[in-house]
Amino acid sequence: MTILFYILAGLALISAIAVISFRQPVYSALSLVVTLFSLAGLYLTLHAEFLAIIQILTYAGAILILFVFIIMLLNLNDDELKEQTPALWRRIVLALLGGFTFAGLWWGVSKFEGDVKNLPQGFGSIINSGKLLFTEYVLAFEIAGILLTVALIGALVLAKRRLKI
Amino acid sequence: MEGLQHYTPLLMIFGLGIVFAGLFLLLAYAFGPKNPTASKLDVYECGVPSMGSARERFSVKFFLVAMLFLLFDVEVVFLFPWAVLLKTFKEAGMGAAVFWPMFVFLAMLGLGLLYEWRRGGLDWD
Repeated sequence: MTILFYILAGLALISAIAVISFRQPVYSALSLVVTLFSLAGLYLTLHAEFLAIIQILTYAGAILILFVFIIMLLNLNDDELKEQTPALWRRIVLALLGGFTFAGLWWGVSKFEGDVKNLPQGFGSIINSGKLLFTEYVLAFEIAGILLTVALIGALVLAKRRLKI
Repeated sequence: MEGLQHYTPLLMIFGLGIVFAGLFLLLAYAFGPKNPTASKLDVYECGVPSMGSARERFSVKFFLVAMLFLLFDVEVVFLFPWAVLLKTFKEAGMGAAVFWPMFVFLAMLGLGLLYEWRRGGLDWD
């Protein structure tokens, strides 16, 4: 099982580095698919089965489509994709931001005090996730519905030039 | 780790897919004859000479369609556990407690869809 973790984590890391290393944005998007798939595999090993399937369905499916569409909308030509070195201050600020994010994650994970070794039967399955979603977190579920509706209207208003009355 | 055994076929499909695709690509690369000529390397566009660049800027209309697809995709994600659970909850006498939240959820998104429809968001103009 540890071997599976190392394979998936390594794959996720390599493909994530590939995402930011490729000059062509389409290659980056394709590498991101690999990253998302390996993350889904990691979720499976963490007993988050439902989340793993959703990760593939929505992230690797729908959100990647949006990324590819954005690449097509931006329509970068070869001149714009040439090797460029960002200004030093930008690199320093980005490195600091990345460092802070990592430190925050590290801190959050080290604070976690749950029992992850002895999980109840069926933990993370669609049935148990759903039970929680429709009982304890039903308010969050409805708020998600509002959020989706707002996004629906927002996408329409932003992307449509002329709306019918 | 227990519970992951029934994902072994999935892993096998992934593994076999990678192996077979890689194997045949490799075989074709190793044994395929390569006699490149100018017309073979030319850009192929249904047999007619290609005109202009393929790198045209795409209309934002496509993005709207993709956006709508994503939103309703996420909506369906919430429907899966609901569909799986409804019967269980109904047998436990809690059918309404699961039915109505989803009703409200779908009503909100249905209203959103209706708005989209009425305002011409689904038209291609």
